Amino acid sequence: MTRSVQSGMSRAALLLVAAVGVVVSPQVGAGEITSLYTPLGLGACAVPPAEIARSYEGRDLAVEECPAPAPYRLFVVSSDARSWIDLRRNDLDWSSEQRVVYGRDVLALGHFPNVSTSGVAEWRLDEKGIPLALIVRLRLVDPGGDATQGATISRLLVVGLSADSFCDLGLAKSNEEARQMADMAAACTAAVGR
Amino acid sequence: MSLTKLIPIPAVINPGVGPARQATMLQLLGSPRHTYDRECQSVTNVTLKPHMITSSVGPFRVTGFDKAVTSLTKVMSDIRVARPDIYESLGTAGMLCARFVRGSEVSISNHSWGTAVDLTLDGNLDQRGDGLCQQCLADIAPIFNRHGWFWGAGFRTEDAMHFEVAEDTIRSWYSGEPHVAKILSLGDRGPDVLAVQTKLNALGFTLILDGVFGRGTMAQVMAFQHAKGLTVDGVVGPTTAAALGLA
Repeated sequence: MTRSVQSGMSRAALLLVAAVGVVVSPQVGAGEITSLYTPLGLGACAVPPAEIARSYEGRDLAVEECPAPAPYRLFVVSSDARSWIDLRRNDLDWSSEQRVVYGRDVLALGHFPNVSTSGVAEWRLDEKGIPLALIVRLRLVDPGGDATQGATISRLLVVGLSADSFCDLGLAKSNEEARQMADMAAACTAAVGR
Repeated sequence: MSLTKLIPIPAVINPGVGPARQATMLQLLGSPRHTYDRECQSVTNVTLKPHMITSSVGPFRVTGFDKAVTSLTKVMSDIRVARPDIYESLGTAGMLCARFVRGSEVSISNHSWGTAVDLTLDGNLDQRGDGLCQQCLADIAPIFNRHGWFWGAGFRTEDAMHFEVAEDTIRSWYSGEPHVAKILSLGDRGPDVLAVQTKLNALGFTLILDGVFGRGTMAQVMAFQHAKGLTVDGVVGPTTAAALGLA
């Protein structure tokens, strides 16, 4: 059965999405799972409230808040040459910094991982419109390519979401693979180290 | 002993060397690109680009500014002699990445010129900002210092994985070369930019004479190029400089 994303989303989420002009693009995935796309581009993201911004400035990090369906808040955090996403749900915070910047598999893959600004964030929603997972594209300098020509590698970071946790579901090479990983997000509740 | 054993940042580091200032990099090497994104991009500055090379420096390969790569090769050679155990474990997390720091329209990454390198030990990257550093990074930092490199553990927020060519070293590369930036473009600063602005104002343009090649200067350079029938690219190269009477 195909269903509209709007039918399952909270009013607050719809208002947020409408307020930032995000295009909602339903997509039928496995079973009842659909996709909501929110922009990560520079025009769509903004400096967050001062209290949040200061917490990053204290670590010499820059931060922008990008549109996200309620109750989630999505931040793109940047050091001098790398960027990653942080997530917040009510009082629960989660950062992908360790995964993106220090993960040995990422380090072995390429240099200077950055959240792709040309892409969008894909939120996988269950049949009730509740976000199950988030997919974000990372771009890295290809150490095996000609760096003088800007050769890059791309991977999709998949983050599982649940009412009381976030969890790293891994890196995918393709949209299809990322959605398969995301749609297993129920496993998030059993994930180690979440 | 584990090569990645963590220790507090030593109290005395970087004797006699300081980090390169962005203004110095822009003045002496020029802006690596006309426009920037928040992702790493290649160097497009036609003066700077030929200096970007890919080469082995011993334990790993890098792409960076030629003088920095040559110097880094010498650093690695000294590390190989002094600490072969560390040398064998060294890798890199990157040297060249031309981009804006996200959230900023003016701050260019200090990797944009290929004069800084981030190091890994046994495939591990030192955690930035935790006040600790891998013992081995502290051990090899004096070798970098002797070759005129600054260790990032000395930044306000320590970044012990990071080493960059120091301010005075960059300046020493360009001493006696008053017109290094032969091509001026967005982001450049200094007396050469001021000369362009002065010439443009003498022709009736209305630029603030601040020596900063910002978007206003670029727009009026483009207007001048259009009026003179030149290629309209907003870059002051030899042809535009000659048309301005600056060649």
